[in-house]
Amino acid sequence: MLAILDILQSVPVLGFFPAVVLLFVNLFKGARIGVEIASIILIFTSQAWNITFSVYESIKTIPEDVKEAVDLMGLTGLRKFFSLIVPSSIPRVVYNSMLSWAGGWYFLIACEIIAIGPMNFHLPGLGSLMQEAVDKGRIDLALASMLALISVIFIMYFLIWQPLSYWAEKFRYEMVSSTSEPPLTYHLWLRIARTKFFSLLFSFFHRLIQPLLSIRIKPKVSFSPPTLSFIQLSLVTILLFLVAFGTVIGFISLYSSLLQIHFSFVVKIPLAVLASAGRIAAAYIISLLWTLPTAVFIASSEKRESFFLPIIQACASIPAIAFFPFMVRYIVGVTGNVNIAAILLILTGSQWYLLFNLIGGVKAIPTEIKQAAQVLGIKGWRYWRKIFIPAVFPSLITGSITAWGGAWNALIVAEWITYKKKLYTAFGIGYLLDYATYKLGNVAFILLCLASMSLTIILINKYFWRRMYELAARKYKFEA
Amino acid sequence: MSSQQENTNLKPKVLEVKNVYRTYHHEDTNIVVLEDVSFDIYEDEFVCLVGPSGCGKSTLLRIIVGLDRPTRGEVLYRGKKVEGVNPKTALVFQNFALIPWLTVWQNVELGLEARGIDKKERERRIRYWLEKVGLDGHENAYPRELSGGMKQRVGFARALALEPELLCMDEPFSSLDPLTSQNLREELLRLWTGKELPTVSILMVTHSIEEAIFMSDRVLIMSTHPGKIIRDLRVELPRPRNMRDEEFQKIVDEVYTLIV
Amino acid sequence: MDGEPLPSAEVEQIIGLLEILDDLGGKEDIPKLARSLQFELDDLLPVIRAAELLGFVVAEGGDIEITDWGYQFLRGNVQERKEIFARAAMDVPWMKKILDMLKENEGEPISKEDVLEAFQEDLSEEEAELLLHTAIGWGRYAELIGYDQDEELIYLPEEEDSPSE
Repeated sequence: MLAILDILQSVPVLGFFPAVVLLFVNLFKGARIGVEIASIILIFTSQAWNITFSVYESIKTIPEDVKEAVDLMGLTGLRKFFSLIVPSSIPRVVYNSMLSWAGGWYFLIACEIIAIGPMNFHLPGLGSLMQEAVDKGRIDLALASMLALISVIFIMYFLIWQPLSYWAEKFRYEMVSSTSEPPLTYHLWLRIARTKFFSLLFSFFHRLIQPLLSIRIKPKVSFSPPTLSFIQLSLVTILLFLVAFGTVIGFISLYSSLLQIHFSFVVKIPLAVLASAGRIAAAYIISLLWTLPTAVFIASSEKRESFFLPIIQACASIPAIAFFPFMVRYIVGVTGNVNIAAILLILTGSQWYLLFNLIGGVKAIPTEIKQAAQVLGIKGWRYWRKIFIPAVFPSLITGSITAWGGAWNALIVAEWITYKKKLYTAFGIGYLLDYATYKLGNVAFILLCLASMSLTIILINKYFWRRMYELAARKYKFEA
Repeated sequence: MSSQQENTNLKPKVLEVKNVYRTYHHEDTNIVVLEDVSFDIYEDEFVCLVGPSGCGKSTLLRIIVGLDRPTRGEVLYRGKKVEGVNPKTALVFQNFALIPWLTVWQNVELGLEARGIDKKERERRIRYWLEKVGLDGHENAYPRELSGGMKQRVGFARALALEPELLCMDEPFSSLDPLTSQNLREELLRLWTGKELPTVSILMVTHSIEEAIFMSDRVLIMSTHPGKIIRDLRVELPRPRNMRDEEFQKIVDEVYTLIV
Repeated sequence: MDGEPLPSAEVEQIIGLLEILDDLGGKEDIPKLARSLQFELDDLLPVIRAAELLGFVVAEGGDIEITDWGYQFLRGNVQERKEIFARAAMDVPWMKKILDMLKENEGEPISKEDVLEAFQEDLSEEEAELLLHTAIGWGRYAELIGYDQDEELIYLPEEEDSPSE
């Protein structure tokens, strides 16, 4: 089951976009609402797996005695879900949601402007505004919209994420005494929650739920991973849905477009995958070099962490398109090489995940270990090699897997740069995918590119990342 | 027999703690963890710091070792002010603090390597101390394979291999079951009384009065909130001591009444 | 073996038990002992069983007493203790089984799986694991056997076990 989640998580969301849009547009006879739904579905998919993983991880780490107590109290089915699973998942879900949102913003752009072959859709939103600004070379508009985006992110952080994170800490199992002050907004929300209106709302909701709580879900939620029957059920449903519409589209478009593909294009695919993989690897190494020391810096104090966290989210949300003018003028213009621009653009869509996870990893190093290293006089390179890097290894791997996932997604915007109606491309699978979408409108070829990308991702995951992950879980885990 | 501390010790001083204060600033208030702590440790002494949880004894130990700084006052080691980690000391942790991805051998080797001790000498010391703590045969084991007692033995080996003058221990037996801690205590004492330890003196922190009286020559009793030393007692029972002895119980009772 | 706890005790727990009994004069009432140690009876019984198995104590009528063999062990130095322990352990049926298996394999290492299978003839999977864990601990202390965690192999130790990098 994990394998399925894994595949779903790594397959590039963006690549599916043309296909999904086609489906919904056909369903709604070309109305704009079709595209809106497609956008929502795709942004959802980019976030849903991350959250699912968080819930899964949270369930796995519920302490034994808590599970026993819950069972002894006779809590089953939905009641157990609401009283145990939901609270247990809250800390991780909140933490990951922050970054999921940022990821959502990032792809918003690509989802708001869809040009598939002859069809052209523009959805109102920050994304298309930015795109238009970039197209027309209006830097001022581009900057304005970027500023608007960043403001929204910061406002969201202070109004929602910060108080939410503080509240989420309540649900942690570790008896960590938090010495931090609740943020001002937390008190604000508390006051709002206490108003007559909200208490009425809550009790109404509660009364609605009551009868549901006594229903037993079949099959019962069991704790032994990897069987999570409840989640399995929903996933199977989603899969069936995907399969269903996949077949529909397939039959409609595939046949005609299949005949139109040139063999020369198909041959280019493996080369393209290789080229893209190379770029991602380069971006990854660059990320590692700067995120490791930065994570140490940021994680070293609570104040620093709370200062930088919103900034990181803001940076992670800035869509690649916002960088296009900069890339074209200063990178391509100076070096004449689109490759470098592509690598930098890949960075914007991947490095933040690495940083985010590393910060978590650095924070998790037990104090005693750090003290032991200090007392033994372990410093410098020796400290990094023998203590620090192995200690953050698990987070490093998780972060790397997510970063690579983000990188594959970013290819689609990184290898196809438009500015002032001019096109700058770098040869790779992202390029091929965009070419198939914008220039050919050929569904079969799109699917072929997608399939090869997905296959590569799955292979890398299976033979490299899985192994690393197992190594991390086996050797580099801190005992309770 | 126990008696109040009089400076009847003619041996040189290893450690001098002079009027140490440690306060933390939280929001608008100051939390005083340690208040005006002063005492000396002489050569050839086994000293215990006893007190309830939260009395700051662990903080005091960390200041002595150099992991932390006093807010006021100073710590002198052999007459010189302690600045940063003191290489003449070594610390044994309550929760062992072993590196999970290193073997027993590598864990002990870590500190020796960091000191630049050459390979041959390292090997000699590691072999020697692993045998002394009873872990020969376990060189290639990983910490997670070991029982709590064995993990702490690695902790001891790691500390002793550095040949520290002052061995500091932070509740070293608290995380172990009563049988294992009994065993370890006796083994440590055997090494101490048999003069097989490279250390000159030992400073141990514990919350158990029985343990303190069992092990040490001198017991420093601390109160809590704020942490101060309220009594400095010599324990003059001959070793090996028996916790179930009448004499022993008498001293324990004496100490309990002193605290209350 | 039903109803009786597995003798799953660490060597140092056995030694600790003997030392405490010695302090108490060599004999003590078992529940009283557990209470004074603030140790769960459930946790104490395996240790008593182990000490019994090795011949270091006798447990009768709710009391436990050190044997002469036990005193010999206690009074010995580090090396003597290892030898006495080895001699006692070699006679313990499941330890003997492992040593026999090694002999049959002409001194070559045997896999953890094989031993577990042999144990599982009389015990459940969980119990077998626990017993093996105990056996390895005792064996390593007495220098009767060695264990490679990565390869999960049990072997006969050579003279000097050199550390790998």
